[in-house]
Order: sequence, then C-alpha cells, then structure tokens
Amino acid sequence: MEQNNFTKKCKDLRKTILKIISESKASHIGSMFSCLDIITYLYYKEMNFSKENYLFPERDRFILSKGHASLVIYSILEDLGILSKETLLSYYKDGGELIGHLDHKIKGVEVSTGALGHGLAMAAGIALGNKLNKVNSKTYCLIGDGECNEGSIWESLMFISEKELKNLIIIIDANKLQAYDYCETILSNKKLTEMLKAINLNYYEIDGHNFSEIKNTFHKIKNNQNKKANIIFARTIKGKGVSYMENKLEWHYKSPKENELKQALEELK
Amino acid sequence: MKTAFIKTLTEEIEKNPNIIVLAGDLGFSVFDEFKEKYPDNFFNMGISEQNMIGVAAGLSLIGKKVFVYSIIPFVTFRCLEQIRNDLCYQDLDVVVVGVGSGVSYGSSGFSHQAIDDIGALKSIPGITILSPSDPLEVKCLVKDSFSYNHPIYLRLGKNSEKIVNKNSLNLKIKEINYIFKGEKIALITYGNIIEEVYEVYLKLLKKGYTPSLISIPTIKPLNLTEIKKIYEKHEKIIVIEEHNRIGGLGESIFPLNEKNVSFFHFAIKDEFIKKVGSSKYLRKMIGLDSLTLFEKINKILEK
Repeated sequence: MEQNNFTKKCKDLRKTILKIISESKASHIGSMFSCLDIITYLYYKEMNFSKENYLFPERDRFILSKGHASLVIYSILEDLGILSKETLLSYYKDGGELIGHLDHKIKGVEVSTGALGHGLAMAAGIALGNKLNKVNSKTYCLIGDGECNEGSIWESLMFISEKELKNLIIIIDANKLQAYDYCETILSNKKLTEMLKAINLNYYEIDGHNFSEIKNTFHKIKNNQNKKANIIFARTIKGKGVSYMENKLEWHYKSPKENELKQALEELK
Repeated sequence: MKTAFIKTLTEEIEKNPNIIVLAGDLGFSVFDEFKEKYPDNFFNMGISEQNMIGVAAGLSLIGKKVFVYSIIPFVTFRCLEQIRNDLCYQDLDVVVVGVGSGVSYGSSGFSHQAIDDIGALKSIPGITILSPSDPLEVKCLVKDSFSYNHPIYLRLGKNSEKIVNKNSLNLKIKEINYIFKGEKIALITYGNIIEEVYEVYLKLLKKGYTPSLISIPTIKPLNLTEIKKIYEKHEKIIVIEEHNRIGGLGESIFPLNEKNVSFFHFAIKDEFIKKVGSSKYLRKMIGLDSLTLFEKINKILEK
C-alpha cells in the first residue's frame, strides 16, 4: 500500500468511526483519531495478520492498551472481513455485541483492555511466550502518553528491557492530552521522552501521522541486529483529521451532532 | 504447604515442560532447586506484582500453564484489577499462589497478614478460591489444577503444617473433605487453622461428642449440593475460619441454611490486628486458638 492508498484508507476509517460515534453518542473519538494512522499502517502494511490467519499461533499480534480507542480496531476488523458490518454497527448500543472498550470475545481482538496500564504487561507476556516457544512473530503494543501515568507501565518497561524482548514493539501515542487536561500540566510528562530513553530499548521518535516516517521506522526495526525491544514515541494530534476536533480536550467526550458530522465528512472527502 | 506445593509442581514439570513459574522476588529456599533445574520455566519478576499478573495473562494466551507466587496481600490486593480484568474476565489458565494465610506472618504485622483476601477476591466472577487445610490437600488440589484451565487463587499457609488427612487422600477442586464423619455437630473449616480445629475435635471426642470434622478448601465455587447435605445431616453447624467474618466462608454458606439449623461462626472481628505477636500468640488474642474455641463450643453444646 503506497501513500495515496494509505491516506484514503485512513480517511475511510475516520468516516466510518465518525458515523458510528455520532449515532451511538459514544466518547473518545479524539483518542481514536490520534492513533488511527499508525494502527492502520500496522494492520495493512506491517503485520502478518489477515482474515485467513488471525487465529494462527504465528500471526503478529496487536495489543491496544488504551482500550478506549477500541473502535479503530473494530472498524479495521470489519474492513478486513473478520467482523460483520452488523456487529460493527452495534458498537455501544443497547444489546449490541461491541462494548465501548476492547473485548477479547470479539473475533480478531487479542486481549480485553479498558483499564489503563494493563495491555503492555500482557503484550510482554505474549512476546516472552513466543520467544520461549521460538515462534517467529511480533507483538505490537500501543499505549497512550497519558497512560504513562500508570506505575504498571514502568514495571512492564523495566521487565521488557531486562528480558530483551526483541519481538516486541511498543508505540506511544503521544497526543499530549489526557482525560481532564494537558499531560504536561498533570504529571511530569515534560521529561517523558528522557525517561523512556533512559530505559534500555531501541528508541525512535516520529511524527505519528507521517506515512514515510512510520514506514522508515518499522523498516529500521526490521533490520535491527541487536537484542533490544523497541519503542516508538509517536507525536500525534488528538482528534487528527477533523479541524474542530484537533487538540481539543472536549473531543475526549463529545460525539458529533448532525451538522458537525456533516462538516467532518466534508473535510475528509 | 510451600514444600508440598513445590514438590507437586516439580513432579508435574517433568511431564509438562509448559509450566512457567513467576515469582515476585520471593521464594528463598522454596524455589532454589527448581530454578536451578528449570531455568527456562522460572522467572523472578521483581517487586512488580501488577506487571507479573499481566505477563502471566500474556503467557497463558500463548498456551503456557502459569503459576504466580508471592505473599498473599502483594499478589492479591496490589494487583486486584489485573486479577479481575486480565485473568478472570478473559478466563485464563493462571494459578495465583499466595503464601501466609490468616496470621501465618504474625509478627510481621498487618501488611503481611491475610485476613481479608478471600473477601476481596470472592466477588470477582469466574475466580476459583482454594484454601487447603494441610499439605496433603495442597498436593491433591495442585495436581487437579493442572487440568483445570480457569483462574485460581491458591491460598497457602507457610511450612511444617500438621497433617490431619490420611495419606490416601484423594481430593478434587470443588469437593468437600470429610476428615472425620460424625453426627449432630459439624465443625467446618479451611486453611491451616485446622491445626487448632483438630485439637478442638479431639477434646470434644474426650467429652463424649462425635462431631464431623469437615474441610471445605474450595471456597468458590461452592459445592451447593454437598453443603446442603451437611445442613441436613447435622443439628449444629460450627464454622471456624481465620479470616474476617465479613467476606469469608461462613458468610457464603449461611444463606444455604434453609432448615434453620443452629449456626455458629467463629472468625476474626472486622478490625485490623494491631498487636504484635507470633501466629500462635495472635490466634489466642483473636480467640481462634484451640483452647478458647473448645471452651466456647463446649458451652454452646452444653446449652
């Protein structure tokens, strides 16, 4: 998939999510749009994961630790033909199959998340298990920068570094906003990049919406000869792709009204 | 109990190399031989219980049979949400092993004691709670756990507990263990407090009573049919547990008393233990030593 196709795919997924969120009146659209580009790249360009092999033990696995961005995964799984349209449209609705956060009971979803600070440890366990079994597959785990408030994240990072889980790639969706303020003004996130660099991992910093930067980084990781696990600090924009949502805290909560939906879909044409 | 646990695990790992043990920087003298012999099956996870449970969940998803080991409060309260979300909601094959049931870690104080752990875990859907009474029960239940495939909390004492069961004991998860079948009176207990309850049992025999001594090591899920039978077959039910009276076994089985059989509950008051002392000393202080228990029970029976 080259850049044009990638851009179109990301736009289409954003449109799908906009319509569902608008109808179900669910939250977290801003958090979904900040990590959507990089997750889309992984599923369509990087990972060994498809409708045919998503249950094979040697598949690559994606763990979304910030489970409130679940609809990105659900929408991709529907697009890949693993989930039905009907299931996807039942997101957040009474009697529906898809809860607001991520649920392992859904085909193609690896683990359930929703409480922050859980996914990375599970990803580490999966990567360790594959390493012990000598299975050649990769585990990708995306966490939020706000999620780095959780102590459990640092427990996991120390473990991942010590155990040299080369088959694990951690991505930080650094959208700079968490649930009730800017990350910087809540806890000491100003030093987050330095703290992450201090842990002995292969460290990369990229623009999380830039196709070539994403592509080059995963290419570098593939060609890495050392034993270290990998961490990508992806600078992103909360609400990316819809002008009135970008960098706005309220889009952690709000769902677009009819006129807002219309404008957003127009912008994504 | 620790010895019985590690012995049973070592026997099994010879047949099943898929077993992984994660320890929270504890296990000195327990795992020494095991980690030497099976370095790929043992990981010291450091003092990081939340990560330890999450990693256990991940390993289980890859098909490993995982045992997680630490002192009870650290491997339960500290990582309760990981047990709830990662293990129980996803119904994973992980055994959380906690040591130091009740006041086993007496003088270490409240931070290490485990008098409220069952209550904290009991309301999580899908968890199985095992608190065996002696090393033989430990052996049987650990053996049964190898093919159980659901999250288990295994609550152990420490070491050198008295053996009250016969060597031939055959016990499965969810089964009730009649150590002695008697009549009219049922002494019901679990965990290593059985040492005290067994003494009470002997004293009652001397007094001419013939009670049943029943161990219920599976606190969840309860064996409802068998518990109803206990109520049917006895006139007085006496539950003794080294746990807060809120959240323990007594509270679980009391509502099953449909025929209003006399029910007595000896447990720990809903308070932290703030005094210093060995487990023996503290049991006396909280009235769970054999002498105090016998005196109180004898009074009940004489009425």
